[in-house]
Amino acid sequence: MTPKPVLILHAPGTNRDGDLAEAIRLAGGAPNIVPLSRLRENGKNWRDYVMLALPGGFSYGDALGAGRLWALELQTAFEDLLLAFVESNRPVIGICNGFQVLVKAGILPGNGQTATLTFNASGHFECRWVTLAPNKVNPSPWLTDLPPIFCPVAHGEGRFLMAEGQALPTEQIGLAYTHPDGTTADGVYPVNPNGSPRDIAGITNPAGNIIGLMPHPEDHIYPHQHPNWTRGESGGMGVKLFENGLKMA
Amino acid sequence: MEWSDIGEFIPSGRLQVQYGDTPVVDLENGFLHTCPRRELRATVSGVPREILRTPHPALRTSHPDLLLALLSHPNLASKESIIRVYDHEVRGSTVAKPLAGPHADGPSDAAVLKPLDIPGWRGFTLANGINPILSEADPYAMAVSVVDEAIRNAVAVGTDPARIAILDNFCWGDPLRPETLGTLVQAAQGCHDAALHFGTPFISGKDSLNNEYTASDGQRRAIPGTLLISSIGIHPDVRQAVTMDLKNAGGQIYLLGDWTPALAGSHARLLGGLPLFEGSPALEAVPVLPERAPEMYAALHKGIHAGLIRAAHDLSEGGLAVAAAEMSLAGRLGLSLDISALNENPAVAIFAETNGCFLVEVEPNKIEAFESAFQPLTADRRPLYRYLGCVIEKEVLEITHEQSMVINLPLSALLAAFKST
Repeated sequence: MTPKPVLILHAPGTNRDGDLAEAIRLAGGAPNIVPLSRLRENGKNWRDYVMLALPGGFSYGDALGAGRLWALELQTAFEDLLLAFVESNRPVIGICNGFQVLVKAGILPGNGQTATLTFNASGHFECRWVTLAPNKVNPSPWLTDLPPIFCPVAHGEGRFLMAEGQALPTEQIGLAYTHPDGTTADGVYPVNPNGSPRDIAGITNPAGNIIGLMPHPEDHIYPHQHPNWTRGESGGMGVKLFENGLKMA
Repeated sequence: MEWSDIGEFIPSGRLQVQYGDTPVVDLENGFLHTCPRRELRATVSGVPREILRTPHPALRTSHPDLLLALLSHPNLASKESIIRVYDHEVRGSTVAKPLAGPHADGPSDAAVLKPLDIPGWRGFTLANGINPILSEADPYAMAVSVVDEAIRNAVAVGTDPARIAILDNFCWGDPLRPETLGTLVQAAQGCHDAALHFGTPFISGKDSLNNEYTASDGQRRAIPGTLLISSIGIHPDVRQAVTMDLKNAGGQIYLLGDWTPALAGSHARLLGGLPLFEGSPALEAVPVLPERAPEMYAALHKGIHAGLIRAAHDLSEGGLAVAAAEMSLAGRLGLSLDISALNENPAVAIFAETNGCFLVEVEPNKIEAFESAFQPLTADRRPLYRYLGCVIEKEVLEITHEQSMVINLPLSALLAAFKST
């Protein structure tokens, strides 16, 4: 079976496109990393792709806030293409900087509410491994039969906040930070690395085809990436998340 | 990535630049790359400058007290707070991370990287060596030691010692001051001798000179001469990567290498340990270029790739006790060691610094293979290894010397000191 083509966007400063491409490749997809400048030139039709992915990095050097300029670019130069893809109910995933972009472009939470991703409660960048529990009451196909994921975070602006007076519906929480044994983090640092209320690590839109998350499941797709691999430990890889995405395609 | 074609190399011997049709640069390469050479004067002092330092105000007479002081000194203490503000996971290539052990808080010797797009199990490693304190005592010994440190840190994780390249990064004072230039010359000589001894090439480097400050007495002074050696090396099989955290209770601990105690320019001396070393000849000694290190590192490399080594960590600033403490706290496992055979003075045995040495953990059923792998390869039959003790379940660091317990500290105390800054 021919692997299905996935569009991986690349903005100036994106650096986790390669990691994401490898995860998609392992999950059975055909990754295509395409710089936005090339997409602008030849107006490539995004309908050729079965899935849209926005990788992590420091797009536009985080100027004006992480993801803000890339979001503006999508809302202006690519508004129609993006909306068409989103409304077609095909899968979209935004990881870290990609999640920031989807939130700041108003694609997520996608229910009329307003959210943002802001500075970590610790006041600095965090690079550490975390445990993620999929939300059992979220019906999104991204999360079907998904076991807990153990993977790294690497971000300075990962704290997910809703606008004052708004609370994200529980069924839109995608993944939450937990202790290694699965018990809720309850805001405890560094189990919850950024202070997101309700330990929110990732969310979906109401239709469930779009997911955004701060951690990097694409950085635990081989056993040798596990921090305690030399101690004989393994488990918690993130490939299944991408397999779920491709199943929706 | 966006790029632009800006020119080509031609055999003209000139650098020619155009803006459209207008020539803007046309220079001869010879003119560009040759310049008049300055003649400067260097003065080399024969007296270790450390002797001129004021003694540490808090003189220490307790071994545990000195160990905890060493672990909490900024040079040795945990760098976790700095490490975690940088992305060491980007590109999914980091196999052995900067922080080791089940709680990801032990100080790794080197990073092992396996790029995602390279097939097979070959990878590469990055490691470093630095010791400005030793520079104050003897810049030549310092240079030799930090070259060895950058190499041995790489070897400890399984890098092939024959496939390592290094960079020199100098931060020094004003070279127009003859004494300062003298220390720079000595350091450069150390780099030269060490590189030839190990057969490890310098492939590049950089320098920052004129790092000076005006002290409260109005005198202009140079910073301590600081040389960072960075190493890059080939790891033939990252599946055999070794990290420094102790792995299993029952593991056997060996000291590998020609342990040659030196206390001049040491951190133990810096932190007021003088009373503990009274009368020891090691007080006047600086760490030397370890003669048998190349063959020993080759044997360790073979042993690692034969699966004989469960954990490895080099001896560095603070000596054997600090290395043992770091392995112990990283793995959350205790150690029971007897260092009687090393030196008649227990403080020297546990705090003296040396080049070319490691502590390794070997599984009990691999002892025979391990010992035969490290039979001396030269006619000189001095042993390359020394059995010191074992890994224990109890979370305590126990070091004995001639039946008396010199160190008996719970891991919690080691961790508290290590993470105090």
